[in-house]
Amino acid sequence: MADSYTIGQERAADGSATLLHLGGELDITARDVLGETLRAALDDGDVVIDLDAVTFIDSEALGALVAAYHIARARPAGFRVVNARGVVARVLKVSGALELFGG
Amino acid sequence: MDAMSSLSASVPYPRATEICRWTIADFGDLRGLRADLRATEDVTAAGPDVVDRVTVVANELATNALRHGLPPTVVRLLRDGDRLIIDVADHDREGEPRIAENRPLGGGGLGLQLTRRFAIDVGWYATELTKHVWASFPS
Repeated sequence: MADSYTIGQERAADGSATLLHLGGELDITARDVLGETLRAALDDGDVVIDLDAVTFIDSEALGALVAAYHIARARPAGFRVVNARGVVARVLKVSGALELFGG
Repeated sequence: MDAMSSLSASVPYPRATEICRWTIADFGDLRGLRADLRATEDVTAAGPDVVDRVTVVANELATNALRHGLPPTVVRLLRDGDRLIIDVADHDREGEPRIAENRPLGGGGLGLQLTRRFAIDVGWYATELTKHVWASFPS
């Protein structure tokens, strides 16, 4: 079966950040690839993570985002999570991740 | 026990009726479990709020059982009066499920923390062969 998730990547038009467009359902099967992608992106500087097309997130995938946030803080590099909707926004809020990521 | 506390040990809802069950072999089965739960009439009839809660919690408990328990992992959806119940069983009777209190975000235990926030009640019990973690929801 195909992966339940997608990860797209581009540089911001002004070259200032890597934009990661995540999609589908992010669960434990996405965790390791997501973590590696985030770490590699942070090696190039600031990262913006767009969750607009994400329809589900579990604690494992969220853990990969939180780990990347801490890497970004230590660099320091910019780290923004945007466009969380529905159950994804709810999981981010209830877990405290939304507050951690800065709203 | 450091910062850990036990979930309550009790056999809940002895008169609950089973609506559906899934045997989960590996992490790749979780996607189908979520899709099935979202399409189950007893869940959808409870509204989108409950659909979210049940889907998140069932996924977390099944993931936890696959990671730390012994196969097979069996997920059951039950009804007891006005409550829906997710019951997840594995065959590791020795491992007592625990929930971490006051751990920093990302420090582990996030799955059970989400479970506690999204369910009305959470608990566990063991039979001669199996260990069960359950969570209940309004319907």
